[in-house]
Amino acid sequence: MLGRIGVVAPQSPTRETGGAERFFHGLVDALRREGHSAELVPVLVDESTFETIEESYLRAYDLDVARFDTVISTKAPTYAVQHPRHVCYLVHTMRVFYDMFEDAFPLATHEQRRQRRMVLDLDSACLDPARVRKTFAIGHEVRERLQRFNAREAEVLHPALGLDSFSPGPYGDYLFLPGRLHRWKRVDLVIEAFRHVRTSLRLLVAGTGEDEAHLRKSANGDPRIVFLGRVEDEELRSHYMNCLAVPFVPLREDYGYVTLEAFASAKPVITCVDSGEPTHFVRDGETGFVCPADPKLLAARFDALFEDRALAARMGEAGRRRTEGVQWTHVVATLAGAMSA
Amino acid sequence: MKLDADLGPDLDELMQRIRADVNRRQRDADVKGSDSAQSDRPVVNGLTPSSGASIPLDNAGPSNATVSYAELCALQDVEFVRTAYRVLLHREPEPSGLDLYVGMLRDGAAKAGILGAIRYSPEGRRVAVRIPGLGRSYATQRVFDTPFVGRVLETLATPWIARQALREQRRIAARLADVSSRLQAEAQARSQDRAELERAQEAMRRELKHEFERAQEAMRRELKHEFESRLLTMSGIVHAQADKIAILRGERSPGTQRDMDEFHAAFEDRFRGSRDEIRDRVAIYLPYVRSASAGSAAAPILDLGSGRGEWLEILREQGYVARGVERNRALNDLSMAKGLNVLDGDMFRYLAELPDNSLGAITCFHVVEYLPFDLVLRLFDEIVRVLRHGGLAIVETPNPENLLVGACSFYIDPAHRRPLPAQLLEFIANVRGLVRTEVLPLHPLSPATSMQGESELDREVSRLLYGPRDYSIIGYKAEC
Repeated sequence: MLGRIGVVAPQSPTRETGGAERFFHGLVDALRREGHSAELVPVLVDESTFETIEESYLRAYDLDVARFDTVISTKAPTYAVQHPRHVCYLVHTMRVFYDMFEDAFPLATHEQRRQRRMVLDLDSACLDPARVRKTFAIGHEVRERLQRFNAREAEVLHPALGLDSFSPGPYGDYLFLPGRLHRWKRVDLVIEAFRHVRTSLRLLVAGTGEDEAHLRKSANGDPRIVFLGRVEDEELRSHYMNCLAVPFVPLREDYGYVTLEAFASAKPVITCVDSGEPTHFVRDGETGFVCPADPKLLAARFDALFEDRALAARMGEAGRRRTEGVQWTHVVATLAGAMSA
Repeated sequence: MKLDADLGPDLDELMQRIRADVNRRQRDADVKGSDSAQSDRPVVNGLTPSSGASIPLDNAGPSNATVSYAELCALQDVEFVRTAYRVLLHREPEPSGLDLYVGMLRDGAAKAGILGAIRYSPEGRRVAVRIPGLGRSYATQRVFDTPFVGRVLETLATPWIARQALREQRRIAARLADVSSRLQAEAQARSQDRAELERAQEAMRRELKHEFERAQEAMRRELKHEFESRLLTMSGIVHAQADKIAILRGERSPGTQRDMDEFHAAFEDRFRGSRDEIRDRVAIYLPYVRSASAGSAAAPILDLGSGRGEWLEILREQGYVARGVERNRALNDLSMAKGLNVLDGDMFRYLAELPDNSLGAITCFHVVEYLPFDLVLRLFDEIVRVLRHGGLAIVETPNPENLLVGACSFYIDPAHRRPLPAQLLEFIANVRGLVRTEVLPLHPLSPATSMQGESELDREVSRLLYGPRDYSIIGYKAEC
């Protein structure tokens, strides 16, 4: 018996929500649907300075989880939690200290390098097999990063969608690009590709973020490109339902619910060879396109789909079938196996 | 394999280090810039600047950075002295200065004293960074630091210090009162929230009831339409029978028509593609039908020129109510053999019998290219008339923008009249009253996957030769 399960999840002081939050709630709901007693245990995590990051690790380490029989930790630094029956379902570590370090601090000071070492040591120590019964990773990208930087092993377990009720619809005259407007998502690459698009295809960008002003500027008043800002769930589903396809070209994405949401709506996904996890779902020419991160090549694929909606429909449908198997029931059964082992 | 990581530090050890750091910072923040941690001198209220206030540095250079007194005093040892130099003198400390002040700190000197000494040095006065409160604090500090005089002053100043302490107490009491009134307001707001929730529940109950009544009404209407639609089908059958009788009586010559029909049926097989291919192609329209809510008994779908009935078959599989009209008997026999709801006969005659606003969708695949131009116009007029408001129209035809189609393959069918470019057909659709029209390019020859690294010219030429061979106009009758 697994008894009471505590799912430890970070809560940012600004209460931001995104894919990770959908994942936490999706996981707890799924555990409950399968008859387990599960509860979300929030830990305040503030990533604004190194000092607050240290404090966040300490808060997770000191977290009182004695009332649970099993604990599932998720995102950095919740896996610092101490419990004899602890399984980690790793969403991600703090990437700015990992693969994005050189990108974020091209001229890192000695102090910054020390901080990076510290975080890497902390994560390796937290995920020591002596402390964690088993570590799962949400995708290959996360697993490989853990292997490379921390020499820790993990098993890939793809989480199902946190938001449901996506449904197929007509293949309209626009691409839909939802998500946080952050540099790592490379929305600018899609905007640039539109300079080479010859058809009357349009682009709807949903979401907000620190790069919004910059992206609007690079769209340069192109009437085909529309920024929708923040959209409610209902509107999100409807844009997925009516679009032609979904371009999703982030840099080394950990998971990206966008791919799964697009496929659930039977829409092809155009992604790039260096986009990380999406390339594990998208098969070039079958469920969308995987192409080099080059605006001209992207544009050619956009046009191809626009001029052949039947192709878009075929690929989208293939994508829908491809991700049909990513179900919470499977996730819960796998976790339960590891927890009771 | 895991050697490297296992040689790394232990988690408990790492956490101990972090805890020590965090505790130290916490202590420093608690004393809020006073020096009590290092000096055994009593803290004098009112002399320490209020913590947390950000003090703009007047001459802080282009960065315009701000640093709070509390932040400054929270720093320790070497770090404190270095930062003090940067803030107050805009430079790094010289080794001798660094040694001097660090030594003083380690001997228990007050931070306010050191800050003052740096700020009011000749160089500090030149840079003149303004930190409110520091001047007074420093002056007092210096007087108290003077041997003997300091002791006397401290004694004399005691009643004043007490007054300051009292003032501070009052200030705290006032803040407490403020916080408690805010808490009260919060509690009130929560009880309002509950009332709102109850109101929302009531509204939802009402809405559900209303929804239920509406659904009942819709069902009634749908049954009525179903009845009417069956009547219409019967009338179609009667027409068809009448045609047959006319032929039997010799009033119409069956032979030539039958020949043409059979020719065209064979032609369709050869040139338009196999039944499975056609089925694949038309399936793309299903989402449009779904989102237009067409295909119920109240809003049935009519397929003009239904051919071998591939589309009607798919619609039936999906549970939609649909029927077709086809004048080619040879083709129609195939549909009828599958039990599809199709009528023999002329589509214009059939359309003329339909009441206004009675159909959910009209589809018309590869028909307009057989019509003289006046009938193309009439077709759109009839479509707009019989569609319900918001109803869907789909008209598919060969795409002459593909040069091979426009120059040759269009003319393989001897019955084709003239190719209709998408611009023309969309224009007709618009002037005859369809709205939200869209041109959907279809069936290109070139495999879209093999276009990596081609030049612009290659792409343009391949589009003209191997691009979409058909297109369709999709449009809607305006809402009322």
